[in-house]
Amino acid sequence: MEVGTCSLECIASVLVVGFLWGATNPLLRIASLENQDEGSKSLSSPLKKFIYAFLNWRFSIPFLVNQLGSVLFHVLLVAFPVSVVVPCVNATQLVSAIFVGLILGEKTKLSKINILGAFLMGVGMIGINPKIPCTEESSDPSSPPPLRGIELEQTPLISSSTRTPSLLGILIRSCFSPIKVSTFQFISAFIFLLIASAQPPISQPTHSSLIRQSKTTSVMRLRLPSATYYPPAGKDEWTREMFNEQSVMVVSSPHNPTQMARHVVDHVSSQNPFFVMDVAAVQRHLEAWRSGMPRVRSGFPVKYNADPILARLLANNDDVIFEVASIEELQMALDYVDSSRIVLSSPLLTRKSIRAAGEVGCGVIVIESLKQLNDVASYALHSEILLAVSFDPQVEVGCSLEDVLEIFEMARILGVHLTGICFELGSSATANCYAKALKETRKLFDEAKMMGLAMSRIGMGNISITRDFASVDYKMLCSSIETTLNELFPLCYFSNVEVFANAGSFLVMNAFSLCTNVIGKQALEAKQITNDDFDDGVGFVYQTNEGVYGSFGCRLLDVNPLCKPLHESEMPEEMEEQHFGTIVGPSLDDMDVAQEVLRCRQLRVGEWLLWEEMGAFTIPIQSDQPALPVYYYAGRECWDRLMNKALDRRPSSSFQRRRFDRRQRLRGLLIFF
Amino acid sequence: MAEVILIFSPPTRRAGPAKADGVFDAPPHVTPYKEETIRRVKAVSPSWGCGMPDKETLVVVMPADQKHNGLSKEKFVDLLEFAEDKLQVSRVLAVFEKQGLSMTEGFPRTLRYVGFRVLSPEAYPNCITADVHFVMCYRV
Repeated sequence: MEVGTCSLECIASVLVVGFLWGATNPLLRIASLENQDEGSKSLSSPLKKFIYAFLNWRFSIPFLVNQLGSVLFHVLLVAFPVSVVVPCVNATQLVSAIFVGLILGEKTKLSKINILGAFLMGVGMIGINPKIPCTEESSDPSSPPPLRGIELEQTPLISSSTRTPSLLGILIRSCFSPIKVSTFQFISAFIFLLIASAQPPISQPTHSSLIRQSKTTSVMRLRLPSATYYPPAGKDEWTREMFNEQSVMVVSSPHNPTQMARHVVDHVSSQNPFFVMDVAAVQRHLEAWRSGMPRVRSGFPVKYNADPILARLLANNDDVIFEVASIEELQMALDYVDSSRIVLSSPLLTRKSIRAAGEVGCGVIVIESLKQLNDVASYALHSEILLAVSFDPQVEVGCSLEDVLEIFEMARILGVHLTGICFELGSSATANCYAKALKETRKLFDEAKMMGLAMSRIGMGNISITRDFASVDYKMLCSSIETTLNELFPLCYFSNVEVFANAGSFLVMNAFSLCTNVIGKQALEAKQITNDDFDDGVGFVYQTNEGVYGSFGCRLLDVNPLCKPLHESEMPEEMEEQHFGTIVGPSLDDMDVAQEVLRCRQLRVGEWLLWEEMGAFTIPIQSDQPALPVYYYAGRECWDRLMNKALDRRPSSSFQRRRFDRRQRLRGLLIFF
Repeated sequence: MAEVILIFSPPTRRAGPAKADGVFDAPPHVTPYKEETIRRVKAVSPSWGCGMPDKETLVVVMPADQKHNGLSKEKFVDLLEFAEDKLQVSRVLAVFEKQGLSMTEGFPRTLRYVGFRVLSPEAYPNCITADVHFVMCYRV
């Protein structure tokens, strides 16, 4: 396995700092002795000796170089693990001090045991350094290897086992060092070694080790891996661009997910599943939403898809609101947008979530009961509150209409900012349903105004809208909602009213396609698959390498994944016999079914399947399964528009936070010196 | 090493997560809340059972044919808050028997909607068998 650039950088940095320290020590020692000899004749006070020493260039220059080493050492402590940097720098320093001292003619007794000690220190460093975490090294066997023009990034996991050899190194050094080590240092090192040895070492960050850890503690947070394209040879019109620290392939001519997925499988030798994402599709849908319903801001629930490029893309559009349901999602949203653009809305809103939202100043919190109102008053007094109201008894989201006035009254007494109403109408809601709900909302706005509450927000929940924004249905629904809004909340009187709706499925569904591989196959009677005795012939059960415990978990949320073979058959389609089949996941579990019935030509083991419209509920923020790589692409024209938009934006909150952190670090260094 | 598990209300032979019939120990900070935990779980639904396979996990055993009608969301939130504040667990597992369970139309779909996620069998506690049970996880 190749050692990543990070390790080499760390090794080189450690050697430089150790050398700066070690090589200057003999020079300082010699210069001090000279000063002492001369100073003893004329200078009496320590202050005068100190000033005289600085005036001597033989002392002051090595001293400054030595201090430069100290500055670099603290920079290293920030960049690399302390358990590696400290012992390695000290070991290098000692070795450098001895050899430079010898060169300068210092009388140092080099016994066999001294040489053995120096040798062991060197061996210890070589043993430790390859274990330095490397940010570009892939260690997950389930990810496609970086072969043939495609490289993958994987988040490293820092192993606590690296601590033991470094502390062992301290002990070895203290035993064999030519320079005397105090008893205190020796005892401290011994105690730390005992403590470190008592901790069970964490082995390589394999999938099974992640699972083992998740059994006992919390689930390991897996950073979503990205996949990097390189332009294929002979295609100069393809360029590789960077966006939100991820690689995006920008193509000049329009490409569909099938073409891009074929490109990926042609260049990767692995059979592991992956996503392709059409970055431009998100922007296209967003613009269609804006033109269809100019008064309705789009809300993006992070639970739909936690992909980093998607989040950055939506964050760059100032009108998009991020909806979060948990503390993890809240933390992620804060990396992309200001807290005023975040709405906390959870069907199971607990005190802990409200407290966390209050601590970060979350803009809006959706509540549905008096208890939650009291919790917000206690823990998030400065957040705006939306009251979820149930206008349809079939949809059990929100408080009943009878409870609304009581909650209004309590909000007035508590002095909280109850500023809006939101509702959820379910997936079968029509334009009439929205019109009725908006009419009820208007009544509640009037009631609130009479009670002294200033209402300014309306949340329309998840609008069940077709993703085909060119269709008549889409245009009719948008037009109807806009008309109703303008009738009930005319801009001349309600210019401050802000309306938003959940556009998650509309925005992300089409943008992602999943590719999985057929890893097993079994023939059986077709009627066993369809449960219809009239279906004769042979059917097949295909096993694929992704299941409901991974991306196909979206089946629990009304997503119905459908697949087709990625590659066309070599024979004409009309000559291929069509068979019924079912696709099951890798666990061969009864529940692990990706698609219950499909009809297509017979598939081979090793063949790729393409699952389109897999953007919703497939990429979670946390999972006990390794996240799949995503290959991003965009059309040139749309990409240029996106970049212009990104340039127009002010620095994001995460950028500001990083800059703030850097300033804090520098301030810490200054205080230290 | 013996399995450390506290069964508050031992489920029937095939209805619960616990195959262990031996002596159980509870984490020290949990023992005073044993009765209250059972009470809070039963308040949501009398047919539910519960247990703690380790100090980080509260297991709630639900029947495969559980309906969402009639369940109180407030009481369910109370249970989750109790698990956060008093039991100090990091996850709550909803355990169903696979037999007779509909993943896409039954109670798992409701739980998925409110924030539970399907747990892969590799991450099941040792006392839950993947052949018999289907598990969903809520991160506290």
